[in-house]
Amino acid sequence: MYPRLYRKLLPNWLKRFGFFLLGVVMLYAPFALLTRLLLAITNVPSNADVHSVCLRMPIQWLAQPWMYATMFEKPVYLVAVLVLPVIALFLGPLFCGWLCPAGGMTEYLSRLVPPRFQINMTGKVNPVPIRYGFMFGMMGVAFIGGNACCSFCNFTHAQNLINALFGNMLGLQYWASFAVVSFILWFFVLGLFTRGGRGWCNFLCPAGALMGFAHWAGAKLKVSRYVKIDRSACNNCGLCATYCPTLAIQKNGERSEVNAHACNICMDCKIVCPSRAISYSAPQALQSPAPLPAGEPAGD
Amino acid sequence: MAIELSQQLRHYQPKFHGLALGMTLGIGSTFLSQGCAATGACPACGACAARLPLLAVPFLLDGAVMLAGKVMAKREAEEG
Repeated sequence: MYPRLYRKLLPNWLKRFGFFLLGVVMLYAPFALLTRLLLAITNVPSNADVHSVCLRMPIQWLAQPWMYATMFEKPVYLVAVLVLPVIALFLGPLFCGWLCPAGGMTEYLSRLVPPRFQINMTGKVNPVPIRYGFMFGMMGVAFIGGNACCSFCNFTHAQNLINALFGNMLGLQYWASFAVVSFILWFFVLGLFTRGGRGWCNFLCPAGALMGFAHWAGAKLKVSRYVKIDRSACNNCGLCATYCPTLAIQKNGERSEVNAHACNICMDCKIVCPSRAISYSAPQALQSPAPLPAGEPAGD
Repeated sequence: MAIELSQQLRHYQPKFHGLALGMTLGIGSTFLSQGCAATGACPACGACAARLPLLAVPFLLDGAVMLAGKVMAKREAEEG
């Protein structure tokens, strides 16, 4: 019923699940510990919930120069456009793969749905241009004054669900508008019923697009740690591509390749790889040479 | 030169389609997410009408790239 390698992946999933819970405690009301801390440090009076550290609007504000002053007045908004992309530049989008509760929620719940009921997009779609297109489209509209507001945001939907779990049903009023469509799209169509549960992240997350771009740039500039496949060890079995929730690994003829634009460093591919050909490591230029075994002379 | 450009265009065509589709979704999402569209409470602010032409941009860009690819391919065939 479930793929046999799910059992092998379980320790990694549990580890990441712990980080996702940490993400909820850090960013989401009623806890929002990091949000409270950031608001206190920046001295901004605001409700401590996920809206205070919005990851979407500041990306739109990049196309709205008249909003730059607001961003600097409330530096908490720089998290989306500065802090997370800089982390992604050097380490990859760790936030997406290890902390984002909205992505984690659908990913983990999708593991409970038998794969035969799920849409399998592996090897059929390249999500990267669509995700960049979505980001540019949103920013283009922002330039002439429009915004994609909270009712189209999976972060808001996740916050509303968590609020409802703690007895606060107020957020569910969003469902009286178009939000019900975007909720169904995020939670069911692209979440539970998509293999990997990351359909929304792969196609419609502008924050993920920005971090993906930073990660790709870091890999190109050889300053970033990234997931890579050792071609000499790879037997091209395709398991990594099958289990990648972000469609980042695609078989290209005789070999598989990791697309840095899409990879979120979840490391599931490394665990399922039977030939241990996958690693998350620094680029060659930054690696120090491996120490020689004791007693072995250096050089010839 | 024309042949190289034509091959490049053919190579990137699916990515342009994806980009155009994503842009359409991105622009479209701003119409539908205002909370007024689905509730029947449109305040007639004019924002939708002002933004409507933007929806044509991705189609036009994608169409232009496709057309350029076809013209190049035709010239490539004519040249031999």
